[in-house]
Amino acid sequence: MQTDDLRIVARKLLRTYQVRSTRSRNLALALGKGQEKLWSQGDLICGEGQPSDSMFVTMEGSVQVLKRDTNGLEKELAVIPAPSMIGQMGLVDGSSRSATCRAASPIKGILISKQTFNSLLQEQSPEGSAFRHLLISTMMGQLSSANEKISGLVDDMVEEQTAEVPIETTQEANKDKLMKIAGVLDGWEAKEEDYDGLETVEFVMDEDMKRTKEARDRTRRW
Amino acid sequence: MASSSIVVKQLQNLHLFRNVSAKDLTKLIQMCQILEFLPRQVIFAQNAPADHAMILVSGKLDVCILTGHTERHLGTILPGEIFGESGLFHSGGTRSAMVRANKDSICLLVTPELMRETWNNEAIVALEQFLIATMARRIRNTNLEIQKIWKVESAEEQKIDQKSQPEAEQSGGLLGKLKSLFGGN
Repeated sequence: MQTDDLRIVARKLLRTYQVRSTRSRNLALALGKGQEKLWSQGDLICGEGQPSDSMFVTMEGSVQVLKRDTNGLEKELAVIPAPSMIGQMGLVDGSSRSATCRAASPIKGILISKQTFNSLLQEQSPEGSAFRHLLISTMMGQLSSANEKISGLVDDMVEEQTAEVPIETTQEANKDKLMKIAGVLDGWEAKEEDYDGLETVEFVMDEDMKRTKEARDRTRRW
Repeated sequence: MASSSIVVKQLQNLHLFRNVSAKDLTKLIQMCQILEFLPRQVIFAQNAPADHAMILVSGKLDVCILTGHTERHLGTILPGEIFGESGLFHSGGTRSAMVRANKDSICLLVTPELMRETWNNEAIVALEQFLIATMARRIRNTNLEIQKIWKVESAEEQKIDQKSQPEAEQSGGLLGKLKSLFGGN
């Protein structure tokens, strides 16, 4: 991979995830430890429920995020443009893939294996530090975004109560919002309309609970 | 003023720094400011700019949130915990809660500059790993709590069909459960 290309991607990643505590030069060094990978449109990047053995950084192209409903049909959760990080949570906590990712267009990216990921988490180097800072910022973003949405949901519900809207009218909508927040926590931040049509919420929740429990049982390394 | 050697000993006893050498802990406290707080002294004011974090070395802190004239106790910070960490990585944020000393406490001030410049110190690596683990745990726990609420709510929904509406409202409902978890009036 060209150093200049990596530097540009690193700079964009730092801007996207609002990391101010590291330099693009160091993050580019970390990304350089991964392996360049190309996907054609429609290619499977990772499948829901599969073990997490690597993470990806997209440099060009878009990723379509899909999740199965109770009828076994894949519903689109989000389309994420480059540059983005995908699949890192599974490497942190040992959980399996929470969703399927497909190439929505030709993608140029970087595959970071579990071994390289663990080495970057541990090493005393500028690139290790840059990678860890990016990871922390990503997770902080997920948490703060979910917290904001929960707070917004509580405010909406207080307003609904004051306005005396019939409970039945708002119950489903509020539960739908909770499901979306759970998605945000998994790193699948998407536009509101991307969730339309994802009706089988309970199944998604069941799967997530199972995954969380499995991850907790499996990994005690932290 | 707490002496450096005492603070190093206290840091060595923290789970966070269990694998860090005394040499690197000594270097860390040479680079960090050591701050001491008296009981009831405010460490972070709610809505103040968030531009640094702290590690509680000894003592005990209270986390409170002020809504109007009401103060709500959200939790306690114990030695070995890092707090205010969002200020290290995201600029322009504010403190979402107030942090106040519950008793005599010693903290280490951690700045973004320290995190940026100090990659060759085991203590900083341990701190970053601790933050990654903490974030992952918080994400999973929040997700789990949301799912629990969801499950309970779905079960209660079925009961509502058989109960009178006022009775169902008294049980708190989804809003009550969210408030008890995440705060709010």
